[in-house]
Amino acid sequence: MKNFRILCYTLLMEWAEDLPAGCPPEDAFAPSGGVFYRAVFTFPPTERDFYSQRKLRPDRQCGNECEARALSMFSTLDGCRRLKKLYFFKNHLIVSFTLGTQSGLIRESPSQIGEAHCDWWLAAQFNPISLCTEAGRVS
Amino acid sequence: MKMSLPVMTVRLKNVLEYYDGPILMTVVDSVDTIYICQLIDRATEFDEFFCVPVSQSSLELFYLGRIDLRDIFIKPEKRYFSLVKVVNYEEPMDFESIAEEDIASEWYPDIGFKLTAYPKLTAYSAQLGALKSM
Repeated sequence: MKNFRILCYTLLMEWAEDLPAGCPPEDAFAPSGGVFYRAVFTFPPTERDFYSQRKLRPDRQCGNECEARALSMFSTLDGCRRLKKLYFFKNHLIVSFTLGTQSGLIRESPSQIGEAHCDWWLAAQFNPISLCTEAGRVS
Repeated sequence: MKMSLPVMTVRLKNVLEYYDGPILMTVVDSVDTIYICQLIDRATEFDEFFCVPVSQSSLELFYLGRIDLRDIFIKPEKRYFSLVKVVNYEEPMDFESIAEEDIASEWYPDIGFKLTAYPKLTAYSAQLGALKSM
């Protein structure tokens, strides 16, 4: 049943970026009002803060094209704050936003430093920028 | 006659942390020395990582959450620092040593970065494994 729902979603949804066949994966689901956190370059964030690595760097080769078109985010603030311990993220800001069913599909993909990492495939009609609030400077 | 040194390359061993792409990984050289590498730049053409060699036993302690990432970089078992440029994670990566005085102090991780769970094979590593078995 879940797979059927995702199939319907995948067929009906227009994505912000072209996705390969079978993407998003079967274990992705529509968020229902949860709060998520993402590291961005500026506040308010720009559209570029919500571009995937594939869109930012179209010629780069990636191990997984579906993941290359997903955005990373965390379901907890602490999960996102842990990034600040690494040089690359020291000047990033953290924004929070609430995602409803029209925002796209997400997949829980816990990483080693936190159990809260998610992948997000953004719907074309959904603009997260106006929903963002600043959740804390990463440095 | 001046001879040019061969370019050293390393290969991906495991992606330990991921955020819009690998941000912490281990790589190995041709004699199986392991290096732990953290992302310092995402350029248009490549990702750049700052790396230090790490023994399997220290890596195990890091995986178990008993060693802080900062300690691995500040007090490496062998003071050999390097930069790795990654164009394609599935291909050999250019590996260049860097003098200690050329290291920016900000590159070192802050205190408190530990793993909370023993690493699993990540998608990148699993895919590489599949490629190697073909």
